[in-house]
Amino acid sequence: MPIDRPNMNADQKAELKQRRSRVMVTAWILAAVAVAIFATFILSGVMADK
Amino acid sequence: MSSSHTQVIDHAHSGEIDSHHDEHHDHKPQGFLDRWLFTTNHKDIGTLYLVFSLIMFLVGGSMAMVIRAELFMPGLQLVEPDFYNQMTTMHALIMVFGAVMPAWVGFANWMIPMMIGAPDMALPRMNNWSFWILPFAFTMLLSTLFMESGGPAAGWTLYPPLSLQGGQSFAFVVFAVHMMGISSIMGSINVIATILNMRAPGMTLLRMPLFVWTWLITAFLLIAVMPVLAGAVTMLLTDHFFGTSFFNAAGGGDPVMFQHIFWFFGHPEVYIMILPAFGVVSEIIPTFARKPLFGYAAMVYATASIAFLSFIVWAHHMFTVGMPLAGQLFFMYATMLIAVPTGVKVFNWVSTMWQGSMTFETPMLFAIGFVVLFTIGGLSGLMLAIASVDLQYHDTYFVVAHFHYVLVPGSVFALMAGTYYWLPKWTGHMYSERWGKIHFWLSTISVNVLFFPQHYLGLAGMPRRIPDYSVQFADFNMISSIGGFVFGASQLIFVGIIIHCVYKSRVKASARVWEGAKGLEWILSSPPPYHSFNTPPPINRNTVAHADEYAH
Repeated sequence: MPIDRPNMNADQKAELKQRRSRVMVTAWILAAVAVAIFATFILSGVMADK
Repeated sequence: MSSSHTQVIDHAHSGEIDSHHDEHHDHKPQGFLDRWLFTTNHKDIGTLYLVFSLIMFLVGGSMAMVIRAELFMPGLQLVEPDFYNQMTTMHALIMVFGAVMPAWVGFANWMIPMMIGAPDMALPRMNNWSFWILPFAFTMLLSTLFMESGGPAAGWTLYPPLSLQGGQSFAFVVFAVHMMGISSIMGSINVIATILNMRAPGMTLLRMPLFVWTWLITAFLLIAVMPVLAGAVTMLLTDHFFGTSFFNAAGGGDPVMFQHIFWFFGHPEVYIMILPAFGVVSEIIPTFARKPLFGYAAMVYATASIAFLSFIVWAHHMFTVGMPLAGQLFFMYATMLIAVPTGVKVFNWVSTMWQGSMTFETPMLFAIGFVVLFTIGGLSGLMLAIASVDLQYHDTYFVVAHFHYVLVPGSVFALMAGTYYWLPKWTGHMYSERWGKIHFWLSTISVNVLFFPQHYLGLAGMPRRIPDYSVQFADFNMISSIGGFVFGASQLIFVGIIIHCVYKSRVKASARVWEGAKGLEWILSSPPPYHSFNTPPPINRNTVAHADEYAH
């Protein structure tokens, strides 16, 4: 995660917080895409199996 | 990595970089477990990945020695046919998922944060987890060799119905593949989150080193296709153990559907193993040619084009299953299209060398070896893309020769080039250049003796995945096996060079190890501080490795 630096001012702290949230949003979107692709293939297989 | 409070920059080359913050952040965990089991440091995790992949390289290589020993002469010599099939399958699974892929993740962990001016990966705890899944996955995979039903023996493609005829150990194989997939996906999420969010101010996307670019694209490929493999093997698992019929023709399923799903994963997987190699070679050649990379932006777009095309060519692996003519034509032409961006890359590497002040240290030798020999593998790939003649080549040793040219003097040579290039940076010591060159020449000669005759064997009709063969194939097989034994032995030199460099070498490496090297990693000391770039470095002409705006 983006790290604290000594003597950060308020603007820098706000930027850091925003950057950390961007990391988490990026990670969760990518994880959701991976799960969705897995689910799509399994579900399409299940549908075809009927 | 023993020095403490190391200097951050090489002042002679880098100009005005403020170093004093990083000097106070070289606090390694003291205990062994804290340092290696619980580490969240990108450099430590990179080292873990690299050591693990080297061990897997040796394990997979031992299996290759069994295969070549069995094929040394016609007739059954050493192993039973079923065990031979287990060896070919396990060799491939271990080399693909245990050696090459983790090695590139190791490079990514070590280099990406340093190359973009970030203090670490974006998600360090997940980084630790990504790595530590792998030893369990491969212990489980290898344990199947000792089970009653033996290891997987249907080839790494795990095609049904053959793969479904294995025993109870198949569940372990599937679970191991799941764990490898989870590890890869988590690693890729980390790489993308790091590159998109952790770059130093001023490090715009089109100023990033090529290695970072190729890994960004590789990570997207991994996230797109590893879940597809997970889905395919999950359906195999339920077919095997729970009575479903996804791929079982007797129950209304379709085994050919598995091949489509597998290769929708499998073809991008090929590029997952080669794109980071393109990145490494694109870093090394400008350094030793002492010229800026020719056509930086073109290299980025070519990488993206190759990644896109990798999704629409999968059925060239299965021309022989029966396919409408329109399908064959589409997959044939789409496959041939890949030669265009790949040709752009080869042209740019050669153009970078053209009229450069070239020197031939070991990393450059391996990089040039890569360009020449990978191109041979690419050309035989074009031959295989032609649907009408693929009917002749399919499942022969021509295919084995093709993909080994792409993967061994391709990916593996690039891994070796990258190791020699950055090893002094990682360890703070120089390796033995003399032994490096011996390793290169032995490897280059033997890899050609090993794989080139396999083209002829394939054209003469020798099928792959067989432990015995007709006597007409005897001579070329013996030559190939001799090449294999020499290549295998040469890699022990590589291991010796690394061990010597880490523990014995007394020659200290400077910060900018190579005179022509450019990029942020070279402004850090060798070895770099345990925590680097806590303060973002300045991005300018002196610190950017390649960018068209700084090319002149």
